[in-house]
Amino acid sequence: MKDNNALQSFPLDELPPETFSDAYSLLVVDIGDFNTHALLFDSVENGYRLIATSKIQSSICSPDIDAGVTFRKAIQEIENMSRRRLFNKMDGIISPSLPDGSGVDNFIATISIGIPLKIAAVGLLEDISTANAARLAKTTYCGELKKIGKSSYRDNVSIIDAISMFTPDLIIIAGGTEDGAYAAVRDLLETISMSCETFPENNRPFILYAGNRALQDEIIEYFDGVTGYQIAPNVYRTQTTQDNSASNRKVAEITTRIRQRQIPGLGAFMDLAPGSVVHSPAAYGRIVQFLSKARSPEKGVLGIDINTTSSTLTAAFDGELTLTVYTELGTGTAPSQLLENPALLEIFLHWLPMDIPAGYVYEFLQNKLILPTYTPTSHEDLIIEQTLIRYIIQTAIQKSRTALQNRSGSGVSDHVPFMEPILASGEVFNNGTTPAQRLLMLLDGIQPCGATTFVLDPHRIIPALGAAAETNPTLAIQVLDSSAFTHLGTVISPFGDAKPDTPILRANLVDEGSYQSQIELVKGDIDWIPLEVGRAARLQLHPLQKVDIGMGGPGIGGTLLVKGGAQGIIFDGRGRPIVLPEDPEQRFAAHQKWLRSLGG
Amino acid sequence: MFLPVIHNSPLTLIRRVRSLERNGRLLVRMGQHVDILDGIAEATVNPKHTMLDLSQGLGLKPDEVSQYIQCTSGVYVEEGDILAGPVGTAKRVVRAPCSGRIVSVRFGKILLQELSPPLVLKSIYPGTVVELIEERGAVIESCGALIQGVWGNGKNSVGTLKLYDAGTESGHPSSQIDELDVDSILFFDSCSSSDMLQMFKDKQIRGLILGSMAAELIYRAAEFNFPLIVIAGFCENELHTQAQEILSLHDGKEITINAKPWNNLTGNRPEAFIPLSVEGDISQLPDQVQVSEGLPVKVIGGKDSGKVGTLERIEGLCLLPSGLRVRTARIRLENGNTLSNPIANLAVVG
Repeated sequence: MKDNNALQSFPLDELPPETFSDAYSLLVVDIGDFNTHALLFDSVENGYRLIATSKIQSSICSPDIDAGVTFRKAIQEIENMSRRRLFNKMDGIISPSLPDGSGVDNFIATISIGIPLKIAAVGLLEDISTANAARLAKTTYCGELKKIGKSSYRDNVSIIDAISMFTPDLIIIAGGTEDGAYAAVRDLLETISMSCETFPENNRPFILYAGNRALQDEIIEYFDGVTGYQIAPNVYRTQTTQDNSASNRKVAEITTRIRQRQIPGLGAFMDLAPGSVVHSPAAYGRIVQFLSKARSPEKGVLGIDINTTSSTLTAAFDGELTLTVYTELGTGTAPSQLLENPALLEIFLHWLPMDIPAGYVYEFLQNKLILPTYTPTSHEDLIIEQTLIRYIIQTAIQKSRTALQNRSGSGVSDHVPFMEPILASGEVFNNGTTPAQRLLMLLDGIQPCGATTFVLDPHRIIPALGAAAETNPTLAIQVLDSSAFTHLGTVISPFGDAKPDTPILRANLVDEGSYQSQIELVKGDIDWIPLEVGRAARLQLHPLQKVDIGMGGPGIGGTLLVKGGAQGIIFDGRGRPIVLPEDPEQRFAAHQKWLRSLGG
Repeated sequence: MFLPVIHNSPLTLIRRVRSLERNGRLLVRMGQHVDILDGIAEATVNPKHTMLDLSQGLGLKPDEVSQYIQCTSGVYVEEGDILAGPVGTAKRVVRAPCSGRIVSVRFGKILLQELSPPLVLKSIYPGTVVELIEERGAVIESCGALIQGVWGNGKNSVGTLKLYDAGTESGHPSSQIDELDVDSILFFDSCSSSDMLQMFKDKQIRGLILGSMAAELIYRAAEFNFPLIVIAGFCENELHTQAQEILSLHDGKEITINAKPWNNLTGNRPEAFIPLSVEGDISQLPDQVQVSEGLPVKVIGGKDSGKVGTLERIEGLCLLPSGLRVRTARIRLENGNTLSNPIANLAVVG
């Protein structure tokens, strides 16, 4: 029997005793693309709770050209809401907290502003080390990527010309196995070091060295006094052992330093919280990794964080993390991609669940570029917005599919590996849509296989928890277990060959009070059994026609321990991948039927 | 809550950053007055470098060359200048193979950036240099009429403004455009057909300002080699009265059109600017303002897209036809009617 309870029963007793430190209050400020959030956590009745949140529009244009002003406003709003003094007379944060209740014990800032970075991925061989460096580049807000493989260039001067023309913010250098390629890597380092000098002293690209570890001690000779640099584990090695956490962390640290250069006032603000400014995707990844370590190694944990200028897809299998930031897949950046690419727009239009003229869709997408926080006023607007979110999730999953399959060890297939839970963050999930609409967006976008659970994080608390988890894991666990999240429910998604409109699964749900509900799922349908939020039940599953429900292979069933969510227990019989009817009328009818099946 | 501002101002003070994407050489100094075609900075578009191996050139071991180096990074050298040496009785030297700037002198090597015809970044805004950006550009302060739009194709240009009457859309404007207009920046009410857009392209004009444009034409307009901005939006009958009134005051005058894409974060807007000489202090307008009653606002998107009015009252949470419950504002339109619209979908105009 398997426990399928998502975050609701996080195994606290599996954590080492040192994680249960004294209770600390924590203030987290996240500066995002369009909004800056502040969150205050404190211990209440032996448990951590979210005490107050505030939201202020982010801006680096006038009149608040100083990002510190935005931070300050967000914290002042928390002061007003919580009636707790947080600033001292010198305008600094009161820390640690005082006996009179003012101040906080910990103060952390996360940065999720998605200004795209220009990154050069440099290596010895285009297909190996350069490709590995490029993968590392995608763990941050990489807008333009230039791959430079030494073997593909005529000489070192051509490499210098290329870098000088590209004007990168960051150069990631890879190359060499742990015991080889000394001379070639040294030559590459010398070339990159000299290329940095083609830029003004205060505007040189940062360097991340992720090559042959034996040369790490020499990096200082090449870059000290030339530009800022960091050293990460050899990406060639990490590619083999599948542990990218340390490299991701280094990329995150450099991104924070670049942001300090880009965003006026950020540096002064960072002085308020020295060493406590965290790159938002990395913080998100920490929570996903954290959850995966505590759960079954047979399944991964998936997280998707949708913002206006980027989306981050994070997955971890048995603690091994995959993290990719897609700057082209924000709700305010994806429309540009669609408007400029008719082929992508065609795919987008195919997923519209009702007949909306293409011209209107164009207008909507264009308006979304002007006002990324545009609120859908009509039903048609809302439908287009939801289709945009589907498109973002589908594209992120599609682009990450190979990495996910490699990590999970499931080999290449058309399906997403088994994942549980699936976390979805972003204000897009907080715009008044129904739980059924939110779930359907996620199901259509991710198309999970087997049994999973969906947890929504509409207030984007997860990055803050990730930032806090470093010093206070207890807080992260307790808040994850709280009502700050929306538990949508458990989803069973059978996959495999079956004829349309034929039964593919029988399910029997027995709840705590011994009440039973039964269901027979037909191929092509979605169905659900209500189960109150938090209520426990046993779910017996009997797959038919040898479909797979992720319990050991085709045709194999079993019993799961489940807990209820906003949408109860959901059965998605549409198969994987979901194939939509070509005929528009049939397609619209199918969309409507699926939404109705979930309660609309 | 802040709202973005779309400026339609008959007279304002602006500060605009003119900066190269790569490092180069500044051509201006602080406080200098610049005209629209004056260069702000220049840089080599495709910088070519030459690496000189001193060990090889001087016939020495790599660790012996440092004492013979005769140049430092940052200096400009002429072709034939001695960069290192002489060494030994043969007086071996390393000379600059071309004119250029020494970029790096390390590892027993000299990296020389060759001089080639530079790309000059023009001011495009006449005014005063109020800030220098090291090796990249400057901030220019200028006074004049400013009209900002909602979409631009990324190009910029200067020319003479030529207005065409409203209603041109009903007939083909090709016959109306004078051959002399090829060096002009034209204003038209709207453009809804690809034929009309093609005509503009064929005429090789300096720039185009459109009141509104069909959204389907964005693909094509983005590829134009001259700047194009859309003032009001992508719906038919989008109102742009205020902008048109301002432009009509300056028909035949020199105008700058900078069709940089809209960016909420940085405050960038596609815009047209007519420089004006004024006396006395003029204040700079903000890129965003706190929402408040009495603001002149414009609706972005939805069935009321393009409507302009005054924000009469900030309402509480209201249920929209989409089913969403959001904060709205009551807007009194110029014709006296009122409407409610989400605050998030408003921009301030003025």
